[in-house]
Amino acid sequence: MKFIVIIALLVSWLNSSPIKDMMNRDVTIKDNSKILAIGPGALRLLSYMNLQNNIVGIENLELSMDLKSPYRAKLDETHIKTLPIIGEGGAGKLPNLETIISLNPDIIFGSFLSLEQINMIQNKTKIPVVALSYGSSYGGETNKAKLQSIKESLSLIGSIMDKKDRAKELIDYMNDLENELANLTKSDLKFYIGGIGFKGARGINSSESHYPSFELLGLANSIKSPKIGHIEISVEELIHINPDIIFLDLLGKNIINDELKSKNTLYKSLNAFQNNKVFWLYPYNFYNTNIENVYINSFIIASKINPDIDIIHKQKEIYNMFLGSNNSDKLEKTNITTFE
Amino acid sequence: MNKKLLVSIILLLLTSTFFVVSLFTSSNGVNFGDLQRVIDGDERVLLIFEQIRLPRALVAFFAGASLALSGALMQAVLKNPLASPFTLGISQASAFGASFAIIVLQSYSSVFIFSGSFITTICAFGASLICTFVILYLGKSTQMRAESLILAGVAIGALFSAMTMFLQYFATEVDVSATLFWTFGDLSKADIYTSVIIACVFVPSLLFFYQRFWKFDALLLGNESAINLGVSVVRLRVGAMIVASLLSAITVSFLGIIGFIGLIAPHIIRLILGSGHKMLLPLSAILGGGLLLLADIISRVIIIPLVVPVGILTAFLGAPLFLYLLTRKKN
Repeated sequence: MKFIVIIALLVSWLNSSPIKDMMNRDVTIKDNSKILAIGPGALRLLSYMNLQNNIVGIENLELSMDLKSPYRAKLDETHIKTLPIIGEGGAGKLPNLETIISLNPDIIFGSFLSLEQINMIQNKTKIPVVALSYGSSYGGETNKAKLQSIKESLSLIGSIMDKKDRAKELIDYMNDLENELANLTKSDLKFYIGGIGFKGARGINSSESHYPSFELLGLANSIKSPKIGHIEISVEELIHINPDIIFLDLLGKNIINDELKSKNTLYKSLNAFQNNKVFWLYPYNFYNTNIENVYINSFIIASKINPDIDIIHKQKEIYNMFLGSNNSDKLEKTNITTFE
Repeated sequence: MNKKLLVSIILLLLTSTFFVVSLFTSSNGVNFGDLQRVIDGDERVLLIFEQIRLPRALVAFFAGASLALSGALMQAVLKNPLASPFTLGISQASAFGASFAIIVLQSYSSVFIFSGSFITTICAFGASLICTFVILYLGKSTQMRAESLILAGVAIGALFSAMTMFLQYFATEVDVSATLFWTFGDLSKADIYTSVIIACVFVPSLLFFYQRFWKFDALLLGNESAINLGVSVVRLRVGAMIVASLLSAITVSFLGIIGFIGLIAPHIIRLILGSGHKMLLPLSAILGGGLLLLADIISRVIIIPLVVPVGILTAFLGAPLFLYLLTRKKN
C-alpha cells in the first residue's frame, strides 16, 4: 500500500514539475483543459495554437471582433459572447480577479503584463499564470527579437497544452517563410515604415526599429536604433533621412491622411512621395503584433521591388496556416497595394 | 452631547453596514447568498473572500480613514477648509515618488534587499514631504490666503503630474502600464498586508492627535491665543503636516491617487457637528472609511461585469462637492 502511495506521489510530482515561462518564472501546472488569456496578444497566440475553444472567459475588448487583429476571425462569435467577461482588457488594466477565481481555470496565459502584476494575479487567485512574450518593447525581455520570442512562446504553449505538433508545424512554417524571404529580393534603397500602431493609431512618425518585415528581407531600415521596438521620430528626422520607399501601416490611415493634408508640401518633398513609392501595409500592431501580417507585409514589401511575387496566393497560404482555411475568407480582401 | 453620540452611532452603523455589504458585493451585484456558500465551505468562494473581498474591504476602510484624517489634519493646521492631500498636490507628489521608484530605481526587480513596495513607499513619502514643506513655506512665509494656497497646490500638483509623465515617456511599456494604476486609484491590488501596514500608520496617528485635539481647537482662535494657551504652533503645524503626508503617501503608494475623500469627509462632519476637533478627527476618519467603502461598492456594480477603478469614482463624486464648497464659501 505504502509503495503505491509513493508511486502515486512520484507520478503526480513528475506531472506537476515546474516549467519555465517567458519571464523565467517557475510555474507548476496540474491540469490543462480550462484556460484564460489575459493582456494584449495572449489570446492571439492561443488561437494560432487552435486553443480558442478552451478559454472559459474573455476580455471585453475581444468582443468587438475587430479584424484589424486577424486572429479574431478564428473566434466563434456566438460562443465567445456567452463567455463570462474577465475584465476590460488592455495593457496595465487588471482583470476581475473574483470572476477568475469563480471560473477556476487550470492555467492563465498572460501577455504584456509586468512581473509584479503576474505574480499578484497568481498569488491572489492561486491559479498558475504563464507569461508569454512578444519580444522587446511588447512586454518581453529588452532587446529580445520579436519572432524568436513568438516561437518560444508558441512552443511553451505547445508543451503545456499537449500541442507540440501544432507548435512544431507553426514554427517550421515560420522558418520556411523566413528562409524564402531571406533569398527573395535585394535592394540598396532606403526603406521606412510609418504609422505603426502603438496603444492606438498613430501617424507617419510612429515607426519601428528592427521592423521584422525589413529584417526578414534583409532590407535597410532607415531608422537605426540600438533599442529593438517601437520608436517615435520627429518630422525633421524623416525629412533628413528622405527615404526612397515609404510603407505606411493601415491602422494609422485616418491620422496619416490628416497629416498629409496639413503638411502637404513637407511630405510631398520626400523622394518616396515624388516617385510614387508610398504603399500601405496591413496593421502590424492591434492588441499586440499580428504575426501573420508580419509575413504577409514582408511579401508585399518584396513585391514592390520584384513585381513577380504572387501576393494573393501567399496571403491566402499564410492565413490558412495561422487561422485555418475556413476563416481566411472572412478577412477582407481589400486591394491595399495602391496609395492615393 | 446627545447629538454627538447619535451621529457617532449612526456613522459607525453605516460604516459597518458598508463593510458587510462590500464583503458580499461582486461584479454581478450584491449577493448575500454567498454567506450560505461560505458556511457550506465552498472552496472557491472562501478563496474569493480571503484573497479578494476581505482585503479589499479592509483596505478601503483604512485607506479612506487615513485620507480623511490626513485631510482633517491639513485643514486644521493650515486653517484652510479646502486643504486635502489631493488639492494640495501631495497625492500627485506621492505618485511621482512611487513612479520614480518603479521606473528609475526598478524597485520591483530583485536587486533590492527590501521588498519593492517598501522602496516605493519610501520614495512616495519623500516626494510628498518635499511637497508638504513647500506648502508650509508658502503658507507661512508669504502669508498666503486660503484660496491662494489651493492655487499653489494646483500648480504643485500639475508640476508633479508632469514629472510623472516625463518619467513614463522614457519608461518601458510594461513599467508604464504598471504606473498607469496610480493615476486611476485601484483597490484590487490590495492584500491583507497592505491593509495591516496602512492600519499600523493610521491607528497610532489617530490616537496621538486625538489626545491633543484641544491644541487644534486652540489654533482656531488664532496663533496668538494658541501660543498663550501653551501650544507650540510651529511644532504642531509641522508635525501634523508630516503625519498627514505620511498617511497620504502610504495609501497612494499602495493604491494610487484616490481624490477628494480627504476633502469631503471632514467637511461633512463639520457641517453636522461644528469644528470641535474632539469629534472631528475620529469621526472624519470613520466617515472617510465609510465613503471609500461605498465608492468601492459602487465601482463594482456601476458597469456590470467590469470593475471601475475607485479613484475615477471618488473624483466623480468629489469634484461637484468641491465646486459646491467653493461657491458656497464665496457667498
